[in-house]
Amino acid sequence: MTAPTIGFPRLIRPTRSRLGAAGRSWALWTGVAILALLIVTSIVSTFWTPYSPTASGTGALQAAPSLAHPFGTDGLGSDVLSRTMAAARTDVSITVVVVLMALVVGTVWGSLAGFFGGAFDYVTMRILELLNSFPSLLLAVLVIAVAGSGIANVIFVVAVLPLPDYVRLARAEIRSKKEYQFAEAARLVGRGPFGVLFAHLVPNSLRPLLTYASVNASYVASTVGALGFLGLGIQPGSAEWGSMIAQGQDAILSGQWWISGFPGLAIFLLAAAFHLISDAIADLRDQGSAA
Amino acid sequence: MTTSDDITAQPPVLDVQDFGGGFENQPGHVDPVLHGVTFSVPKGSSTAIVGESGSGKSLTALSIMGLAPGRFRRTSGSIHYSGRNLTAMTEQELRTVRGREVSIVFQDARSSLNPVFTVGTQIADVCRTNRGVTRREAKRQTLEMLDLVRVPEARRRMDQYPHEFSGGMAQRAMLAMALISQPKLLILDEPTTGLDVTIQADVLDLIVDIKAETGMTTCLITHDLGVVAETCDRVVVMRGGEVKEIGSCEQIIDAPADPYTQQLVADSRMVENR
Repeated sequence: MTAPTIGFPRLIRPTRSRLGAAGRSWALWTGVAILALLIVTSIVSTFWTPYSPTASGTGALQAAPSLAHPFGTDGLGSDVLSRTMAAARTDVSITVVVVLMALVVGTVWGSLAGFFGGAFDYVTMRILELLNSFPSLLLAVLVIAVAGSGIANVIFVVAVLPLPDYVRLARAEIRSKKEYQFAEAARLVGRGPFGVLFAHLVPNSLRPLLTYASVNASYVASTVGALGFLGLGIQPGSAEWGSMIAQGQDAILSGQWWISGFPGLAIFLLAAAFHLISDAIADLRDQGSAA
Repeated sequence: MTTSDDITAQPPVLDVQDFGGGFENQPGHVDPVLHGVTFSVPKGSSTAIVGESGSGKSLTALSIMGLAPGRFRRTSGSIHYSGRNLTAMTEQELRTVRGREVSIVFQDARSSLNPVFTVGTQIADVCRTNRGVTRREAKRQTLEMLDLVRVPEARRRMDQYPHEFSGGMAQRAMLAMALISQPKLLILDEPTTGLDVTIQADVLDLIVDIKAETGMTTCLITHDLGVVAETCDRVVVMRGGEVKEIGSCEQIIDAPADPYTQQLVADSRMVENR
């Protein structure tokens, strides 16, 4: 299918002056700053961490935070700061890949269903109902139990969970807009159905989809953590925030809060960053309705 | 302006023969809307289709483009464009006619523009899709076309978004979009409805001027006889999905033959003289 695009829609090339109220909002810049910090951390951790994230016995076992170990050490004597940094790479990249996959697949699928309707739309909706009828975390656990662990499986499962929401959102947007006059006008200047859909209708539907994607990102971040906590998906031993929390859970009761606390804080920061950004995207000035 | 006798001697660009159809509101049952609509648009003419709301004039125009609403079913007749039968064409073939050969301009220009792209981008895009020129060339032609339709400060305005355009300016932009592929036939579906009277006059003048410059055939759909008198040489009067009368502009306005046309002319005089 050839779908020549017209150019970048306004929503995703916001110059400073066109951000409107969102450009001055503290939520956007706080969220972006936190996300940037986490991304920089994950990049830095590929070259340098204070100690090797996989080495045990870098200090005393379960040592409290100190100058040598700012986040303390865990039950094997590994440096919690190094492990938290290394885990940023896993968690941030999984989150980003998952959200992009779900966004792209969901948008294309939902748009096609909403635009063409008919049997394809009918089958789509039944598949979505099937997916929605399972409790999502249970579905994830089941699939990983059957398909086996590994980062690829985790990405696939966590991307499939929110897919129905993306598909429904895109479908509803396209259905409500396909009779708009600019769509008709595009047909009248000789655009084919795919041209009308992907060059005109989809760019007009991106705002709610991107808003949802950023909300969904925070959910994905915590789901990836939850799967790690349950010991599913990510290989044991490799650094991942959820599994780090699980490792430290017994120690919390005896007062060694830092082993679970810092990775927990990291998950919170990642989820919060996406939430703040989603608030700001939702506030972006609505170009279409501005008089 | 050529007289109507010269014009009818020209071969028709558009020939609608006994075109009938209706909406299939229940499966298998068509509620008729158009009844044997027959008229032709001679080459180089400016033909007006006049009628009240619901007379089927817009539906006829959309049928010409092959874009009548989904539930519309053709029951009789044909539409020929330059000797090619549009009603027998596949969607693929029709797409080569739309925009390239026949363009249409709607009533509400502002909602015909896509709100998330700049006006210039959209016009240039039509140019690139239909004529396969480079991005740079498309931009140059867009600028030229916006100048032609008298959008002031075209260079600045082409980078603006539709919501920054007034109704009259948006109508000019739509006109530029319709004209950029150099169509042979331009259909204007109530192009001045919803505009201020002064702007209406400007847009109509512009259409007349462009027509004189390019020699394009136009088909104006309107309910306003005042607009017709100013711009057209042939008039098709429609009511209730039927063609009531066809004649030259002078004949229709000075000596209407059909009782409905007589009433229409009388009523519009009454409004004017008030």
